[in-house]
Amino acid sequence: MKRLHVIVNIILIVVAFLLQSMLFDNFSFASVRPNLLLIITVMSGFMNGKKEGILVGFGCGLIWDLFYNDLLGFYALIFLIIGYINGRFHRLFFDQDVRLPLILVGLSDLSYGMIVCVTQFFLRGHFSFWTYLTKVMLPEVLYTVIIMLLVYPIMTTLNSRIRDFEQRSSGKFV
Amino acid sequence: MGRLRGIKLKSRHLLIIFIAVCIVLMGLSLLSSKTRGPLRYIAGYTVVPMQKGFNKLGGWASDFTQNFQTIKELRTENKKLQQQIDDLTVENGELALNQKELTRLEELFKLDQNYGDYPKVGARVIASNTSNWFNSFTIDKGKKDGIRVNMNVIAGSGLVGIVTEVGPNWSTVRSIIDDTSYVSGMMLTSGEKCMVQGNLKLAASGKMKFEDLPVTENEEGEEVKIEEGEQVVTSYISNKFLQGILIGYVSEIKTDESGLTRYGYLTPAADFSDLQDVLVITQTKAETMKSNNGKD
Repeated sequence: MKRLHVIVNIILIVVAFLLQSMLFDNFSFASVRPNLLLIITVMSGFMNGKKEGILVGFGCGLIWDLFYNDLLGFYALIFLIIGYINGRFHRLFFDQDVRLPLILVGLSDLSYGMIVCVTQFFLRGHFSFWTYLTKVMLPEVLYTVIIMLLVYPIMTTLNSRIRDFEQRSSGKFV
Repeated sequence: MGRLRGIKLKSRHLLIIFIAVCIVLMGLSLLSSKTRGPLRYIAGYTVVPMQKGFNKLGGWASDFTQNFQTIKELRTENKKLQQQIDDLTVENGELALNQKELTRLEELFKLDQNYGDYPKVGARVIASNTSNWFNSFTIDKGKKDGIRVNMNVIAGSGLVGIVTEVGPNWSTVRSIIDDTSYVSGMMLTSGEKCMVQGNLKLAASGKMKFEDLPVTENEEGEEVKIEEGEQVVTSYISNKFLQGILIGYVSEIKTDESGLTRYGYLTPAADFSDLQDVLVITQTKAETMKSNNGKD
């Protein structure tokens, strides 16, 4: 990753975290928030490959862990694996096609929900799976996918701009 | 990317390295809570100020949208409020009657140490948990302001939660409606103890569950009834929550299949849907117990 790329990714992660942890409900819908950090992770993996998926996923998970989780590294692990798996679809990345990334974000969010559900709720003996599915997981997936529709063009444009810039600046030295 | 000091790193190796890093971090944070220390300090001086700024921005935005509320809405609200005033006037009369009884009961349960006496510090909520699964939030006071872990947090008249983590200028509070929260509670009039737990399923409807309330009998062998609306306060056996803080009001009560204990639901006294300012009681239960022991 080039320096500019690193800086942009860090800014993206922090902004996503700030928006997601914002107190006011203008942003949440039916008391569910979209999973912006997951969107960033999935997009990074999908647009730039497995390695970036891992690194960005790790960053996203870590900032989350730092503030709201006792077990440091838990969400980092989930997110980096999600980033890696989405990176495997990098070959199929094509700017104009939004369907695949939407499906990827949806599936990633659903599997993230399942993991949290099993590890943090089932293991403590709370088994209201149906409620968790209909009240938390599915609304979150739906909302995240809708936000993804808005974010996707911005992210791809930003990504290609950075790539162009990096290519131009590296071209100067050759 | 990918070139680390001239060695080309395969993504699979990167994955394994980072998984290992995560596992080590988890192991370390299980062993000692100090692992997070350095990272926490960095976060305290970078992310937290930004959170404060964002929060102000969000507050401004919500004020702005609220200004566009139509007159109609305000009228209906006015009507509703008028109704509420009437109700409250009636209720106030009843309460005045109850006051006498309350004073007596407070003495009875040694609740004279009302939480008006506890030293408190006000704090502003600056961010809430990013996930939809848990219910915790960040406040803008930290170690510098004398906040420490296990301090109780109240808002209005009711218990809100407990400080679980402290940074230099921020702290995290786990609210009592969080799915992992357990508070030892007590029925105010009968003094029976129960376990009040947060529940994700119930949090959506603004309720909490209480369990393990014994079925007690009075001298005539009749079951001691708990009325709806009964106040549930924190009990004296809790080792983290100070005694006598109002948790909520009983809204439903049932006897379980064994017939030995009762369970039910309660409505928390604090309004969790709109938490902006909270009070942190700057005295932990451990300190209270220590100072009490010192006196004896």
